[in-house]
Amino acid sequence: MPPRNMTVDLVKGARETFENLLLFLTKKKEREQATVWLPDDIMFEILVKLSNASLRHCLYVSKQFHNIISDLTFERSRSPIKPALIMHLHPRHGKVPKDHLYLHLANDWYDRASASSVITIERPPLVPDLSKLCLVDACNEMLCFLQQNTDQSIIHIYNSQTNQWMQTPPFEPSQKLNRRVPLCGLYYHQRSHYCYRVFAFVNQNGYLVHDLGTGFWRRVHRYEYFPCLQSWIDGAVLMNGRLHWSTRKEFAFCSHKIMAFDINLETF
Amino acid sequence: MARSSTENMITLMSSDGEEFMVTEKVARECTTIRNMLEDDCVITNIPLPNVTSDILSMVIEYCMEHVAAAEKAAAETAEKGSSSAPAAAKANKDLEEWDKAFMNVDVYTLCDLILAANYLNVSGLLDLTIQTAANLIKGKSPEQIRKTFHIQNDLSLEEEEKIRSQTPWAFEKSE
Repeated sequence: MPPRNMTVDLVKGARETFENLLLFLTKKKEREQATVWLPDDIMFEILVKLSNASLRHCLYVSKQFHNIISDLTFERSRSPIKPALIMHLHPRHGKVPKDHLYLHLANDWYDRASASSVITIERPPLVPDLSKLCLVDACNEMLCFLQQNTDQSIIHIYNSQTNQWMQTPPFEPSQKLNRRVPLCGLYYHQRSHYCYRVFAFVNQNGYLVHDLGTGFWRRVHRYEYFPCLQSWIDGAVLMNGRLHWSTRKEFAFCSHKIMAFDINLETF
Repeated sequence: MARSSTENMITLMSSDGEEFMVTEKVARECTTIRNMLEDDCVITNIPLPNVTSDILSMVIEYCMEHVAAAEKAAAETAEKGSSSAPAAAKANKDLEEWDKAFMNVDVYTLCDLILAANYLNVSGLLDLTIQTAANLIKGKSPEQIRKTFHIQNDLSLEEEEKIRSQTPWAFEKSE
């Protein structure tokens, strides 16, 4: 007969084994019922890799999926043509027929295959001089060009999916900012569906908003936020549903201000 | 190739207390650890409270395979003076095959690997796992995606209807 304490040990051991097994089983069950959760930034990286067709399904998966996909920065990062990555508009004078525009891309993706670092698109109708055109913004595979004439400016929008051109009505250019790229933004307006809007800053006239296809500019009345005549405007960035830019008065180097324009509510 | 005995060994400790001895070269594949080593070069024991032992062993396996492949390629280049294109292509293909086999895991492990790769900043592994996850989503219906990733549908019917009416035109186009 084994000593008493040995039996106790055996029982104890058996119970421990049993408890371990139970723990393992409950853990396994928990694991099977557990939902997979990844932080938004990682989910973002995954979803960015998907095609539009797959993304359409993802919209209905869960709140997290929907929120990430409907985020404007998400749409922007999916766009193959980003304004910051486009070096310049290159008319290629004299070398080739002038019915196309050439865009140089400085995206590392395009660098790898140098042939595709130049994309060509058809020239817009009714623009006599291509050198007057200047690329100002891009959004969801739409490119936004500014045509600056001496008396008026026109914004041309190119849809790279349908190869169509659209243009805004002319507006008065800002004399003081003539030699710089003025503040312009193209964005998708979420509240009015199927509608792209253009936002522009014009000196003296203030800020203008144009709904694509409507044929007129609307003024946004916020007089207190008008930059004064001699001010610089730099680096417009669309982020979290707001268009940001910095402004400062000329000769007053320490008075930088960051301005933000909420594109959904049209407030500053 | 004989491993030099002077090579530094580093101990990585997982969240559940298991210790893994790896060479410094392997550990340096993780940018997070590389940064730690560069900040303070006498570190030999690194606790990783966010990574469990089974996931850490997989990450180390991945790093070791990729370090070995890089070393092999470097050795071949040194021997022949210049790398021969077919051999390099074959080595690349082998590594891709290895990656593919390595990614044959369940969704839970995959997500844990993504989190670990993100935390340890192993760019190759992060790209690989994220692409794998994207491939799992590709071409599936919402219900299938939820099932694959064990995601609960927290959208009400009204919310779904709202999404349907708000879908930007860009998504309506089939490719």
